[in-house]
Amino acid sequence: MNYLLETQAVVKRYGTFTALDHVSIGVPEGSIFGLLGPNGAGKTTLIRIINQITAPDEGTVLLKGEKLSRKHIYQVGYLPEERGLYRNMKVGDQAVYLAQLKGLSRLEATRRLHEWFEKFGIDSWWNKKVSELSKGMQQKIQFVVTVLHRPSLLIFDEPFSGFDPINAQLLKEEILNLRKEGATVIFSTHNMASVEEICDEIALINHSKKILDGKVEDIRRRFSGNVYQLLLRTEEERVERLRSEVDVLECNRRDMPGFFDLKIKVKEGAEEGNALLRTLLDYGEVKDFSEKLPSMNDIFIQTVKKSEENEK
Amino acid sequence: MKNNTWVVLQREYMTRVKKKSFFLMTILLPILLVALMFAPALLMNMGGSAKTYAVVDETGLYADAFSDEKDVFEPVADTALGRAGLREGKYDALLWISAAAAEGNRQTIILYYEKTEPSIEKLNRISASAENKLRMELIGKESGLAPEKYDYISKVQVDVHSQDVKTGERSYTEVKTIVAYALGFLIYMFIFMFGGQIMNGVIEEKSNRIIEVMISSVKPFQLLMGKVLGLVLVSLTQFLLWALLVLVLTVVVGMVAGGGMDAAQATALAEQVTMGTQLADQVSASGMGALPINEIQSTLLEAKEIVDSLHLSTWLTFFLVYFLGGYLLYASLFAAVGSMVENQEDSNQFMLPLTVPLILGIIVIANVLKDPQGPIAFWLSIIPFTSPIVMMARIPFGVPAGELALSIGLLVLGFIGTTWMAARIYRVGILMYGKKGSYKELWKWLRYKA
Repeated sequence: MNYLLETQAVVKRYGTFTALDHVSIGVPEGSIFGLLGPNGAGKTTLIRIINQITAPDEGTVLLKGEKLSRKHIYQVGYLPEERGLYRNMKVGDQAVYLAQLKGLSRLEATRRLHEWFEKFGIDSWWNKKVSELSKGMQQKIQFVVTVLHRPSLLIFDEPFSGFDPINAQLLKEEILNLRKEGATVIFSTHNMASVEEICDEIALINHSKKILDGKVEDIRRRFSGNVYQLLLRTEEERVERLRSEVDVLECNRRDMPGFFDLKIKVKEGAEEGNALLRTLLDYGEVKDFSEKLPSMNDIFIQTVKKSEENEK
Repeated sequence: MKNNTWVVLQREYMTRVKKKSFFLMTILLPILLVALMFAPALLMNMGGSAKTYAVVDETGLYADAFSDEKDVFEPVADTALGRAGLREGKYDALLWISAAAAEGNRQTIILYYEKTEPSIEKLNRISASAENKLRMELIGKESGLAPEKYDYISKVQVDVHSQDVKTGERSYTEVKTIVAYALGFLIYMFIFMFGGQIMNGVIEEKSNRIIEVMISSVKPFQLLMGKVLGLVLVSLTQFLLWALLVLVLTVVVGMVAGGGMDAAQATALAEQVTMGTQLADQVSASGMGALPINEIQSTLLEAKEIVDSLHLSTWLTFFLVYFLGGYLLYASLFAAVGSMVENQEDSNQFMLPLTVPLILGIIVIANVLKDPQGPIAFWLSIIPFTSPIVMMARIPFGVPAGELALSIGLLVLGFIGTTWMAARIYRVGILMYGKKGSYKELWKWLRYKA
């Protein structure tokens, strides 16, 4: 696998407290990688190590196969969860300043900023003071500053917090756009719906340890309980007969007469779905049929709980 | 990446210099200082409006005793008349010089007032005038010495001028004392002023949560250095502007005061001045007409002589050296304190270790001025935490070159040491939220791996 970023058995201790315990993750090039975990699990520490804000006590971090060093600073863009701007600086000056710190010349920074600001329709803010802007407006500027130097690795920590749905959508599109242009994204969030929507792979960290990782699709399938969800048009007594044949978990009658929502569990096996479908054909008209994959939310809760039980 | 320190420095410099407060400070501080120096004297002169006093003099001695420039003293026959006038508002006060209250060299005067009580200064002036009169009277009566003679004798004056044996320059010790104090105090003030600005800058970055963005591109040490050095430039800019302002003011004042005086006159006057006080006395004795201009001119010339004797350029050089040394020593520590707290109120407890040596420096200046070569002066001008203040107070009186070198050398080592230590606290502190720093925490932070 071609990893853009790889951490190998990274350990970080603060005094007697271990913030990261041999955490290894691999972020494939050009992917959107979800870094998940409950509060205080060690995500921020890992992100800080990738940003070289702190150094690991043990283990190595590789960027494009090279050991991470100061020269990689310009290849990373970081939007922290706790983010702010100098309140008394003008928007333009501020953005140029932050871009200069990422290695852009004043001229180049100004040119690119105007492009982005125009795209977001915020070019008129250039000479406004940051303190005059709302939190959401400030977030937009922070996003622009994060991506301005075209880093190959982008790290977003809870990027959507503080955005209204319209701007959150805009942001999501921009993130997908950046990936299309070749950027790799690490995405840390508690919003599991957005993980399902945009992440290709995830790693789940709890109590300083990685407890789960892999492709989102694979994980959901792995956690699948072999349950199918279906809509059947039939009569009451045929449903009753169906119950004796297969394992019906749930059955709900719809408002429309003759429509039933059913959840049916099948045995483990490759052809079980087809077998169920064939059986169903004898009991009515199948209007909808799909495998019920667990949500990332359920997987998150289930995995974290299980790992905590194991620790006890 | 190296030039990130430079990028930070530029921002720190530009945002501070562009601030209105910087401009105001630059213009207002010198004016304020000058005002503080002259205001008390000015107010004293202006103090109070002219008053009319009724004087009932039963002794017949004090008829011409009270000749004040502003106040009017009107002889009145008896106290009843005076009281009546006082009630009518004709007089502001009544002086009753009772014959019964006179005994040898003692006299009690009673001042009756209505509503507004006279100030202590007024009472003192009346008392002084009366004493003078009584003294003259008694001299004539008891010794037979002519009052003019007595006046001459009582005004004897002996000046001791200290003079450098090598250069033959006169040394104005009184002036030096004041200047020494002022220089020590200025260093103290500037360290606090600029140190405080650094601290607030750090607290701002931390509480604004911009710090996490910053240090994903700048090393904490670079950020710290950018701030510290940026403010060095700000302070130097400020000094330069003040120097220019003082220069302009001096030229303007000089032109106003010395207007119409040509070079020949100036040299003539300079000669007169060097001839000493004898001549000055003659001048002041001979008529008032031409005096004011001459007096101002001679004052200016004397001031020039004093200024020359102070070796201003040497002082300014050492002032800059010790300001920079002291500032660099404390600035990063101020930054470290800022990094340990999330708002300014919490900073007080950690400021203590910084303020104590600085305040100690200011307190011992009085002692140092009494004994510029004594053990207290010596040690505190060697120890880096107090040397910027204490050494500045010693320099006007001459410090052996060896001691100066030792002091400056230690100061340099000192600021390297404090910067190293402060940087270790700073890089941990800026990312600590919710956890209040404590001295125990600090010890842990110092030992964290970078």
